[in-house]
Amino acid sequence: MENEIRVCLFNMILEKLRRIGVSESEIGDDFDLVGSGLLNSLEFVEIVALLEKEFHCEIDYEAAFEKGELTTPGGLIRTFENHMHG
Amino acid sequence: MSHHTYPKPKTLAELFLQTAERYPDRPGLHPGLHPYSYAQLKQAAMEAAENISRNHSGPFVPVMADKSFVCYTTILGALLAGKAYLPLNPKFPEARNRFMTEKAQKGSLEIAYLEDPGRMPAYLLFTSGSTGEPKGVAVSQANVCAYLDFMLEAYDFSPEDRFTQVFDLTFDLSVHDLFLCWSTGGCLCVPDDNSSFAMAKFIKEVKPTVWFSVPSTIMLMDRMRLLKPDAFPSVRLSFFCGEPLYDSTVEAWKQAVPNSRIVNLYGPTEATIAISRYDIPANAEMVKQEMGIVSIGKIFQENDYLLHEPSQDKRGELCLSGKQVVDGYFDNPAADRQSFFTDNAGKRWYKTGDLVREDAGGDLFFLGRLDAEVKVSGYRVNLSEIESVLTAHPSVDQAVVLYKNQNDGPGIMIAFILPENKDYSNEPEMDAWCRTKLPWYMIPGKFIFVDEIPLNRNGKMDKQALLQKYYDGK
Repeated sequence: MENEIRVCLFNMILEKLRRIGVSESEIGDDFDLVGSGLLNSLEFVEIVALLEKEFHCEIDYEAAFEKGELTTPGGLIRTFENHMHG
Repeated sequence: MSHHTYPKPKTLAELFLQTAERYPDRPGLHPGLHPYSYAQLKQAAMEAAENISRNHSGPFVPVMADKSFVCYTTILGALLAGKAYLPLNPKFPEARNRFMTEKAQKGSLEIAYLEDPGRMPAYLLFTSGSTGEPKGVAVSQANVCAYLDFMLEAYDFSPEDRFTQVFDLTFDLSVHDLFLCWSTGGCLCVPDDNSSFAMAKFIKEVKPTVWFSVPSTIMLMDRMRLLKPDAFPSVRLSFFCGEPLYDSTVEAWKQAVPNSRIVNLYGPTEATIAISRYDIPANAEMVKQEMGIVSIGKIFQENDYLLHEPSQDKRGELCLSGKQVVDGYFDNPAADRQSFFTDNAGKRWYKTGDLVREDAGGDLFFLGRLDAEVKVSGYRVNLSEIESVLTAHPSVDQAVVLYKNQNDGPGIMIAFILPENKDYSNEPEMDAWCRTKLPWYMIPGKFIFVDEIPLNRNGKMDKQALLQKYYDGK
């Protein structure tokens, strides 16, 4: 499941990555998608909404933010996994 | 009843000193974890003022506005030294901060300004300009004090109040946060993390009583399902400004802040923070709105307005005059000629470029812009300024930037680029180029390389054709 979420997430940000001349392999699990300026807050929330639709769940933003896991690929994937299993 | 009963200060420095004397032990600033009392703030501000007086010539003191204790006390220090502050933004490209600093150094102030403390600028801010260069707005002590006087009379602030400080200090709405707070003896609460994700946590921890943000912060919190019923009971006054406020946003926010009055403010930087207000009635059915956008209400007393060339149903460009309105741009006569005029009675007016409608009750409604200016997260963005930056790139022949509304949420800025060489289409290079020259909120959301800029029958650029050919459906 982790892999499915990852593929879906990176498909969504592919165009943005191309734009700044960065490839998927250069983005680590702890890369801050928002803090780095790659996505603005609204774009990030839109991507989360698409992932929620794709994987039929709603994440708890507050809890994920509290854990410091919201805006990195690794954190976001873990958040989705937890919600899908929980 | 207002708590503002002591003698009216004429400058922000007097105002702060008066409050610090009155409430020395109360917390005046709470950045991060550590609160500072008014006595501590005053002590540090006095030291900064001494340092500035000794080492800084010229009327404007640049301050790297990183929202630290040092940043706030340097702002106060500049004002105590009888100077104005020029906020620089750590998130801006270095070139833009340098432009603002150099412009402030080169620009001159009339001698009359320096002799009258009320006319002395309190701060110098820059707003997006159509010619490719930001325009400076030097707001005087009298302009700001007029705003504060009005707000202090209109709303019942108290030393118990805790004010949010969400706005960047390069945004004039931050002046409301700082100086309404420091007029009343309240505490200025500064979030560690300014992102919308962090706001719910910040509000729950800090328990502010006075909230102020752009509406899009609330729209985002709503989309993140953070506006749960009674989530933020501490908030008793909520102000919004900088963007059209939708009644759906009001309804969403009301759920989370059941104890709060909600006020929609409106005002360009040239008219000092905000110059009209609409107090939103508790009953949703009574809210005045047009196409879902809440009224901007009535212009504050001591200021005047007129609609330029109004239509029969009272639609026209809003022009402003009065105590809060600046006389012109900072050292920019060309921009003055475009946006300011003096009437036959000798009264100075600012043409906002905002199209408004006035209803029978005298309430105003914002309908849109008359020029190429758009708002992004509350920031004014002149699309021509982005075009100028793009055209300055050696590989770019022409550039057109359009703003396209999107169904759900804010719109997107699209840059159409006609390259010098038709094989050129280097998006990363365009993105990087813009990031060295423009602040984050002016970076286009998309770069599209085109082989022609379509023209209409009159030989003007055809926006619809451009969008249809290169953007729609792609």
